[in-house]
Amino acid sequence: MKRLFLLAVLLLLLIPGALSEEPAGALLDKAGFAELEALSEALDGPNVREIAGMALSGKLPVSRDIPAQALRQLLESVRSALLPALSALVFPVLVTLALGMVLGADSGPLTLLCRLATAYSLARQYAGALALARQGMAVAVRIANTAAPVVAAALALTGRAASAATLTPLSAICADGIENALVAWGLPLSGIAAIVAAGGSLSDRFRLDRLFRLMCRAITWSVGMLIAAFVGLMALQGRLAATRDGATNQAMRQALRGMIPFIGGSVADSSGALMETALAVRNAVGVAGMLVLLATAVGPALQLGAHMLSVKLVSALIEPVADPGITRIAAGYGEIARLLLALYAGSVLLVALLLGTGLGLLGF
Amino acid sequence: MDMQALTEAARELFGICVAVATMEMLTGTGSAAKSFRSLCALAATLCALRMAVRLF
Repeated sequence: MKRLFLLAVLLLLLIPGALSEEPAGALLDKAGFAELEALSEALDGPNVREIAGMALSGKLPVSRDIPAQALRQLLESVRSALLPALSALVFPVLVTLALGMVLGADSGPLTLLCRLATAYSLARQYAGALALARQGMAVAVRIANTAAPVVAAALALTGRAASAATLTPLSAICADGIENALVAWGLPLSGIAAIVAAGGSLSDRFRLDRLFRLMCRAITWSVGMLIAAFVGLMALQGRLAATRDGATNQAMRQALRGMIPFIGGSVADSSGALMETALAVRNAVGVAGMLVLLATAVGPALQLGAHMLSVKLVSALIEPVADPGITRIAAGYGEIARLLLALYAGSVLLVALLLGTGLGLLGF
Repeated sequence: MDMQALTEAARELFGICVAVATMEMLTGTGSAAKSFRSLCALAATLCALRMAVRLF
């Protein structure tokens, strides 16, 4: 009995200490936070330990000039993407205009050459955007693979062992979905759609518009369906695991209450306080993971968005004066740039959903 | 899905398009261009079908 009493006193002495920042930092290390820190450093991301410290003290590194900064960056990216898109189109457009004036209806073969030149220079820009998207998606997978175990460990600290156990297969599904569906199928399909867009616009009477639209729709629908399936799976798993965790924690509290005489009740109550500290740690891990993802994803997303905007803008600008074939090719490549952005945004969203479990999203 | 075969079919389709466009630009819209276009349309349909089979 005396030993039990001593144990209870020791526990009561330790519990207020658990609410200070030092044990929270120790809990972060226990969750394998150092790996996330190393990854963020390798990717030139933010200082995650600082972010976690701020999240633990209830603040977030949010400043008022974030929207203005994002807008400025977007405009800058558009400006730098606009020049290549313009230079790719202005020359063929001017040549076809001059040919139309000089030769009239006989400018056929040269017009075809101009259309081919447009398709070639836009394809080169598309190749750059494709490489950017592929690289960005690889980074997203890397973040998912590194951050998911940390989030799972943090979840386990909050007494949610069942939720943590479901997170590992979910992260495997997420990485698999990105690598085997979006990267292995989506990106090559967008390339094939680009070939169809260029080929189908070379002749005025031989068009492949419907095939091109079908391919675009197939890619968009596949991305949407993949995300919907993943959200559904996560929500379902999260609900099931949360119920099981709730039951386990309730049973643990009841056992504490019954097993330790006199003070068992207060020990059981203070276990709630311990859980709250662990919950703060879990949120800090979630916020840090999410910010690493955002910080690394915002650059490629802005560049891909700027590429799409500039190609669409230039195709809209040249429409009144340019040869219809050239306009059609530019519009097709604008659509392909939109697909690339959708594929990249889809993969980032999948990883964000996975890391969102660290913030208690989707029932976790 | 066989991406290699799909890409090859897409390239063939592109080749057909280039051939049709060249023929049309060279001969105008005469009957020769028309019959060549019908022939190419048949080949393009086969290509597109092959792509669809690889896709789904």
